[in-house]
Amino acid sequence: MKTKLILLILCFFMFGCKKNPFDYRTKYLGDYIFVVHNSSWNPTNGQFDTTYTVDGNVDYVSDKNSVLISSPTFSLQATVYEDGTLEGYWNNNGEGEFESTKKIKYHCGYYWPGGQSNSYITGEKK
Amino acid sequence: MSIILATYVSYGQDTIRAKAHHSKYQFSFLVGGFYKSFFGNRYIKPTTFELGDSFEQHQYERSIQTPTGGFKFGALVDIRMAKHWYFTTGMLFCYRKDIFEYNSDTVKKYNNISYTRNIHNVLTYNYAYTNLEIPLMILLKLKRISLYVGANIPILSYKVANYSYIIRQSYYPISYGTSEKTVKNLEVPFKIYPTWLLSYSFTLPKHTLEPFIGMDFGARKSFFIQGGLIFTMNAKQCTKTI
Repeated sequence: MKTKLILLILCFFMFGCKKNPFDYRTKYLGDYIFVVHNSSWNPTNGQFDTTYTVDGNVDYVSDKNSVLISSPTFSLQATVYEDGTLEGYWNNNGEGEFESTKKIKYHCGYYWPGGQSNSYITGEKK
Repeated sequence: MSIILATYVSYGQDTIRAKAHHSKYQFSFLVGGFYKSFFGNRYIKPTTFELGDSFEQHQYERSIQTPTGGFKFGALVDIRMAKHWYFTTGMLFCYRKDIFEYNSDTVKKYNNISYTRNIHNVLTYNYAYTNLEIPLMILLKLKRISLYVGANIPILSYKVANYSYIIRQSYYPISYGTSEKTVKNLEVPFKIYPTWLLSYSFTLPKHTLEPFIGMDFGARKSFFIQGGLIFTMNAKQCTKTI
């Protein structure tokens, strides 16, 4: 009886929570404070720079190799590798990395004939 | 002097064995070291990349695995099932390493080296695992010889992964540099190490010493040659009789 109870408790800890302990992405997930630096240029308005801080999180997505980096102001999906390398999808053309299990940096850029726009995101786990 | 010692040891062996034969549980401590080696070539041959394959399936291809050392220690309990037959379990701390090394020219040839460090331009994967492992083994005891066959199952692992990268420093003239990164994490691994151990027991009045040799089997044709000591406590104090 005692053995069964211990096994049950172990199962609860291993499978009872949302975060999958067998998934390599788990160590990077959580709530983050992001610092976002947006920089853009076009011939009409010239250079535009803004930096702000926003709360957000990093979470699983259904694709087993990707994470969703999101906040009220942006939402990005990127492939994450075991060393923390981040590779953006075609629509955000981004790259970056988890520098540690608590720090992230990501850059995505958009370029068109009449200008360009770049976002530099850094974040620290709360 | 040697006659006295032989008599003393012989008396101890008989006493312990008589007690041990009637006990259901036998507790012991294990301490040992191991050397990781490989069956055949240490080079991991590339396989054809097919649509839908994940990066992980081909991650270590074209690398060379490096032999490493490690150690283990912990407690074991032998549960008597039948005459000569026992089920052995317990808890072991194991330190294991996995190293995959690439030739820098190979990385440059097959990967698109960028200015930033990323997994596509890794030169060396150096993993160190400090594992909490549960051994699940069948034990056959024949007089002084014991044969353990089963598996060690890691349930928790403190993984330190060190990556070294080759990065582009300039395009014209083309030049490269290196970079490094370490990721530490506590994780639940999904691994099993099949194992066997062979020991020979020397019985003293209050303890039994069993030097052992054995082998754990790992992934990618690796195996761990191991040796050490199993130290069994006084049967009277540490066993529960049937």
